Amino acid sequence: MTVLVAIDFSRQSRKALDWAIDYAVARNEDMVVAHAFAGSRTALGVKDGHLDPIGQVEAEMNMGDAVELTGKWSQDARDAGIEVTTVAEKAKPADFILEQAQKAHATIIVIGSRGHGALKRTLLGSVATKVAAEATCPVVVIPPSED
Amino acid sequence: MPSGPIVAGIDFSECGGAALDAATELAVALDVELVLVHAFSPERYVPALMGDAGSELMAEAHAERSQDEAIEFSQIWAERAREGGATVRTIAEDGDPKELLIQYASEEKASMIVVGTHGHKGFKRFVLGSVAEALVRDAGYRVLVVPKRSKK
Repeated sequence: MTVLVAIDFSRQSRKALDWAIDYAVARNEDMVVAHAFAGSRTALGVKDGHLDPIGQVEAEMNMGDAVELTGKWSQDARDAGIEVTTVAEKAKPADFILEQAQKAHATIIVIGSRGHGALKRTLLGSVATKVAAEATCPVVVIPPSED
Repeated sequence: MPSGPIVAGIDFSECGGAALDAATELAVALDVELVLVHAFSPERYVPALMGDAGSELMAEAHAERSQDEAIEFSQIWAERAREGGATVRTIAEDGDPKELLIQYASEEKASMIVVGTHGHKGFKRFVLGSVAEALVRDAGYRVLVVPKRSKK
């Protein structure tokens, strides 16, 4: 069985990866580490209702950096003894995660939530809620406040 | 991995059953206790199709039965989780599902809240039910959201 973890190099997605590693080790499952390269800082900022420093990092990253970083994060899972596949593509995050989960026959998806900014009441929908609503398998959403 | 219990919201819906099973599996895998929270409220026991006439009377009758039914229902599902190997406690209370789940998650120092994508208020594909949506947005807890037909 396979756990798919969605990463965007944010703190929340690091928590998601750490949780997924513990889970995969406990259940002896394989892992897919998936990153959708969004590229645009503006898009991320608008989505959260404020400028997101993570978005800034991503805006300066190119696809090659994203692939390299995905590989680096995946290594932590491999070091825990998990069999890991990585996928990183320029894509719409929620659609990409759902598509990759289907493809890998994932039995669980783990994803960090960016939480909400000032516009939380007007801008409905985040990547995590979209994934949770549309996935055919259970989805673990890791909150932004978790330390 | 934190060892706090898993707090699962359960109801009569299909998603509730899937959530129970996913929560059971997870509690067993992570070796933590499972706390089943069933929030019931009398008005939910009034069938949606009921007309205005006589509905008040029916609602009263439902309210009287609802607590007993909720407890009985919780016990049945607790048994199902125990058969799955989990250590289970049940809580059945009159109240708002989201608030009860957050309250008990806090009291129990839960490591996770588990809910179905949709409760009994209806199923809309591609839109999260109100309880799941609210928990994912605001709870500050890890939330496992379980769809109706969970692929095993």
